[in-house]
Amino acid sequence: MSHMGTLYRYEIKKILCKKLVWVAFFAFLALLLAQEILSETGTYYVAGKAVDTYHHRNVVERGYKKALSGRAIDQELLDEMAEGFAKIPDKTGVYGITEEYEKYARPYACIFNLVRDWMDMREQEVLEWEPDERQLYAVREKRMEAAWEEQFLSDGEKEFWQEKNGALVLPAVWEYSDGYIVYLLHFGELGMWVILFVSVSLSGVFAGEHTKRTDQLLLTSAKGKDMVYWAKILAGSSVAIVYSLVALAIELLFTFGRNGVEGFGVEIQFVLPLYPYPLTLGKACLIVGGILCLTSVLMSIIVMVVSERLKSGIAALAIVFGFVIAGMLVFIPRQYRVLAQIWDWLPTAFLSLRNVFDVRTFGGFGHYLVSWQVVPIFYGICGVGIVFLGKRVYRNYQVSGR
Amino acid sequence: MELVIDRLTKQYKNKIAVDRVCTVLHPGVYGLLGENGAGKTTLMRMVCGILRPTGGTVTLDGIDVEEEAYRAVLGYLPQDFGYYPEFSATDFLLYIAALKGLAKQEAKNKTQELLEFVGLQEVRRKKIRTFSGGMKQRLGIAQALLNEPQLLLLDEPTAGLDPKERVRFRKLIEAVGKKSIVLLSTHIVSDIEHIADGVMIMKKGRFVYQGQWEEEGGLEEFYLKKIEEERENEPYGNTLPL
Repeated sequence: MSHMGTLYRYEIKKILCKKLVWVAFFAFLALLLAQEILSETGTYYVAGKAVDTYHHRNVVERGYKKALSGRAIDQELLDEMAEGFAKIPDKTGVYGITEEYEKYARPYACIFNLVRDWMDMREQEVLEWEPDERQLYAVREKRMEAAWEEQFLSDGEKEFWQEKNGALVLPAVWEYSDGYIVYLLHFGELGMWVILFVSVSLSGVFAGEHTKRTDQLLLTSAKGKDMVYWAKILAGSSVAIVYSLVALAIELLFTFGRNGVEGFGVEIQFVLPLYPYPLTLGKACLIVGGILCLTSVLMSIIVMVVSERLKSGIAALAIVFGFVIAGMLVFIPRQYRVLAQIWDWLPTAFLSLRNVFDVRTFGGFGHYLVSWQVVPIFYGICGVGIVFLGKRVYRNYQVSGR
Repeated sequence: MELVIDRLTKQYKNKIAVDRVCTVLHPGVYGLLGENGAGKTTLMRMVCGILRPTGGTVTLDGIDVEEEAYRAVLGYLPQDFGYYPEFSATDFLLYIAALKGLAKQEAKNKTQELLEFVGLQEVRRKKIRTFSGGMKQRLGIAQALLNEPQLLLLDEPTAGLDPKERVRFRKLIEAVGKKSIVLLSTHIVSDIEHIADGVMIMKKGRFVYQGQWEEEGGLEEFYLKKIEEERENEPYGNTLPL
């Protein structure tokens, strides 16, 4: 066991000694910092006229959102919102710079945006809408059911989701939760960074031994055919998981540092209005964090094993990046339900809110597992399978033709 | 201690790299001589278990080349020795010691001892990427000796060494050969002339001679004579008909 520990430490050292690993890490950090700094600095313009600074604007908006915390989104609140917006004299132009908007409408802008999102309306349509609490929730349900049809859900799945939706308490209660919302909305970008980092950092773990020709030393040593393989897999997975945790921690620090930590218990429907599962934003954040770590481990295993199979880190990178780009460009029509679901649940595509909180499920006969419950199980099984496949490839490598 | 190579063969499509090679070796230094492309490196790779033969077997005291117990007593310096440029000499040897299964204290002691022996003690903390070719080769020799191997395979070990280092290296190999089997592949005859207990001359994948040499002009003369004789006897070589 002590040999395993020593070999593990040296494998970690080999990975961390690469400049590329640190370049990728600091590039990520710089991007996050730039994103944070840019969103809080600079001047806010409307129709070419400077009206505020971004920082002040954000502070004011957070204040308005917090002021409404604890209020039910019911007829009374919707009426207040409509009254506020009704005081704007001319709603056809750039009304955002009017005094009336600032004084009467802006405090309700978050409710206005919520109505627009839930009812899939354009701005002008919300302005002309006659507030109706029942209509707001009914339209949401109607849109939700239409989405189920579009996704070719089975009758059993529809029943499952109806049941979940029934557990939601109405009217929903508005709570300030910007920290969680921003974090969840950044999840896709974060996932992309983690996949890129893992691929770049770990593509040389096995392939590098062949290019450096150190493979001969490994494979002729007592522990080189078995223990080294496990030490490499363990080291690669550890780097992937630590990087995911560090990326999550930095993102959390920035988002919660700026927006506060209030809102753990707010329903996920404030981010994903058509997702019927009764889940809080806090739990959703924990779920996506866990999925990010697990996916990074699976990706690390895939990258390492593919690079060993192809004896080339660049080829392994090309395959991973190919899948990532294809995941963004290739859309499998929803009527090919199984194929589309597999495509969206591949580790190169799964790290997006849309896929983690997918309404397509796995199961049948009344027992269904949602994507964030079943995909980790699939990933675990695939990871174990790929690791053992890689072991065969590694052990059977023949040094020839140099 | 006995290394048995029995009808060892490696065939690539229509080319036989090593052709039914047989030998039994006991502790001592053995020189493997042959022209470039004779099959020396292929044979060495099969004997150290990183190239699977098409036919035949390799065993050390009955232990098959595929087993961990075989690798545990093996020391190997490949012709194209690879290293980790970002490691220091000490780190590199400690890492190889862990690969070979040496206990921590033993690894430290052997590392110290070998660094001194190959003259790298002064630069033990420097990164390998700053080393000259000769220093890297000396480090390669040190790593092969870490586990006090019973079977030491050295493929062109003197490449990059200066004359002084070559002399020191020969003395070392002679000492190791008293207790272990040392198989040294080279095309520089003078490397083994004064230390080898026997030679094996390879040509086109076959041993054209194995045993001791007796030639007034020395090993070089003997080697050239054997190669020439073989050239006259085998006009068609060992390429299979297509």
